[in-house]
Parts: sequence; C-alpha cells; structure tokens
Amino acid sequence: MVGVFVGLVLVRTTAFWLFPGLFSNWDLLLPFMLYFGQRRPLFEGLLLWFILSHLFSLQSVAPMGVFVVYYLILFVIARLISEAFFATEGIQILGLISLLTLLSRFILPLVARAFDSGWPVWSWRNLHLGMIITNIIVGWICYQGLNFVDRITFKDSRQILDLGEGLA
Amino acid sequence: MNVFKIRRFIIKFKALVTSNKKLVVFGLSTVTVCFLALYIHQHRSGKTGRVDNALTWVTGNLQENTGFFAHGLRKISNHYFFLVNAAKKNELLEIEIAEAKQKLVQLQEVESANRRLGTLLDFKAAIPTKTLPARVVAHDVSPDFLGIRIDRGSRDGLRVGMGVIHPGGVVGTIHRVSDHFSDVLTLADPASSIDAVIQRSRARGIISGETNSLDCKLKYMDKLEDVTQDDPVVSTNFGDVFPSGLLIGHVSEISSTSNGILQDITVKTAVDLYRLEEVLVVISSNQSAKNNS
Repeated sequence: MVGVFVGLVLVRTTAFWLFPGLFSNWDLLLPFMLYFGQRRPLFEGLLLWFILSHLFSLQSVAPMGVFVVYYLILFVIARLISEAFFATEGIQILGLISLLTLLSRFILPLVARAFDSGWPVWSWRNLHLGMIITNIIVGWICYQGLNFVDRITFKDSRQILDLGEGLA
Repeated sequence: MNVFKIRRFIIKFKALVTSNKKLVVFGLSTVTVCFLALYIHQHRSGKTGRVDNALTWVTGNLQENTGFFAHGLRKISNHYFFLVNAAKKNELLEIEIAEAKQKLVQLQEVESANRRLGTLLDFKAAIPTKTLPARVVAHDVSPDFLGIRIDRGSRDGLRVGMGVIHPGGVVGTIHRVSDHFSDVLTLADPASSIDAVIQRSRARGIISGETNSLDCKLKYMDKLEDVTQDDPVVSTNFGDVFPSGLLIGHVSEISSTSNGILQDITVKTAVDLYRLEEVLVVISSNQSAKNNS
C-alpha cells in the first residue's frame, strides 16, 4: 500500500506536465484515508495514516502538521461512517467519496488556518468545482484500485476480520 | 489445258534436275550469290522497303508489348517475389529512422536547454546580487499548496527565506531546506508574502497568493493610490531577499468596495509556475553575512 502511494506521489510530483489539469486538482491521499477507515483495522489504519500523511507533508510546502491533522480528521470520519455501514457497492463508495471530498473542502482551510498558513477560511475558491469533481471521480478509481491491490495480495478486509472475530 | 502443260513442265524439270545434279547446284549457288549481292546492295543505303516496313511494324509492336509485359514481370518479381528482402530492409530502415528521430529530439532538447541556460546566465550576469542556479525537480504533491522542489540544499549554502528568481521574474522564497534539496514557497501560494511596488506610481503593497489560483493579490493598497490595469508590479530590496525592480507580474483586475479603504488588486504572475525548469536562488550579501556570523 505504501509502495502504491509512493509510486503515485512520484508521478504526481515529477510528471506534472503530463496532466496539469488533473494533477492541479487531485487530492492524492483522500481515497487512501477513506479506504483505511473503511477496510483496515484501527491500529493498522492509524499506522498507515501516520506514515503516508507524514510522507505527504514532506512533499508539500504546507506547514508540517497540516496534512497529518487534516488526514487524521478524514480517517476518523471514514472510520465513524464505517461503524454505521461498510461501503461495498460502487455507488456506495462513490457516495462516500463525494461526502468526504465535500467535507475536505471545509476541513482543510480550517486546519491550514490553524497552522497560520494564510488561508482564507471562508472563500468560494475553497469549493472549486473542478477540484471536487476531479477528486470524486479519481478518488473512486483509486478506491477501486486499492481494493484490487488488496485482492491480488490476498489481504483480508476489516469486514472479514471482524466477522471472524465475531464468530470466534 | 494450261494446268496440263504446267504439270508436264514440272515433270520434265524434275527429270532434268535428277539427271543433272551438278548443274542444278551450280545454278542455285549462282542465283543465291546474286541474290545476296543484290540484297546487301539494296540495304546499304539504310532505307527500307514496303515489306521491310510492314515486317518492322509487326515485330516492333510485338517487341513493344513483350517488353511491357517483361517489364511488368520484372516489377512483379521485384515487388512481390523479393518482398522478403524488402521487408528486412524496411525494418532496418525503420530502426534507423527511429534512432535518427530520437537523436533529433535529444538534440532539440539540448538546444532548448542551452537556450534556457544561456538566458539564465545572461540574467545571472545582469543582476547585481550573488545567485546560485538550481533545477526544479518536483512540484507540490497537494493541489491546495503551490510549491516546487529544487536540487540545492543546505550543503550548497541555501537557507530558509532566500529569494528564488527566474529570467521571467520572481518565483518565491525558500520554505524548507534539507541537505540536498529545498522546497520553494511560490508567490502564488496563499501563505506567501512578498514586498512589491507598482513600477509606475511606486505604490507599495504585499504580494500574496490565492487559494486554487495561479494569480496573486496585491494586498494593503490604499484606495487613493494610483493603480491602473496592466501596470507592472516589481520587487523591492526590502529584507534583502530579492534584487529591486524584478518583475513580479502585471495588474489584471482592480476593484474596490464602496465602504472599504483598500483596493482589491489581482496580479497575473510573470512566471509560469507550472513550466519552470531552472531557477536562480538569491544568496544576498546581508543574509550570507548573518549566516556567517
């Protein structure tokens, strides 16, 4: 999972010229957080959150800590949602991605402002339509991609682990 | 009756021939020699008679058509029967063309890099402060922050807060430094703040980025200040970060609220931040002195 993330980071940061329209709107780690919140046990999810969000922070000029806090909030939201239901169908995943993308547009300015990064908290520019649509579509594709990686590496999802524990 | 006479003549002639063979051979030889002499004499002039003309016409046409046919056969053999060789040659030629194209692209790339580096060197020589060239190796991973990474770090003498420029204009300031790389906070990032003046009126403000935009805002500009569209905005030497008079951008939009005291000025950056490949880091004398002390 970390390898997939690092690969995507390398593409995103070095091959910017390839898809400038896409890359200038793509929040790379958002679908990962949703996936970890939904499909990974809490401890493993937290470990992955910390490693990936720290790596992410190192690749950005945002003040250190902004992304660690921002993605922790997204992870917690995804985890809380998973207590209510697991998203298994494509349309459910799309709904969750849409919800988290919209929420992220309010959470990030608040967190960035808390770190004094000069962000305007209430600005219509934060709700950039192109960014929201891109993140919903690309996020859904990423989520399915992560699901695929788990399947080919025979990684058990949290549902199966929880069910196993329940039966035991 | 005449037929009877002719037949009688033929019979008599045959009898004569069989009885006088030597005479016949001599006669035929004489006639042949005479015919040959006449024939050679006739054709010496280079002219042809009617019969020869007719024969030439027929044979000529036949030759013409046969030649066309033979040529066609040759073409077919060349194009189809020997296609194996042609295909091999074609493959080799295609490889050669691909290699030549690749070399051409590489040469064009070298030429382009030379041109860019030449511009950078000219620019470096033109500005009064000491600078260090650096290559842009990556862009910011987040879509909400506008940063770039350069291949120079603290081991090259870079420190947080140093200015980063380009022949096109101001790029930003060094935000984070590691041993071999540094992150640059570009002027279009919301967290950025760079001292600037309107070149024409010398009205002073602070350049700062906007969220999700490559344009900047010129903040804290009083309503009474003289600012017009397309006015060049340039850097100042305040804080000894940038050389003064370096282009930041042009005023693209001006608006002011009726009850506010400030103007809302949008500035289009002079540098295309998504296409940067090489930059110069300003190692100003004051900062070096501070660091040395």
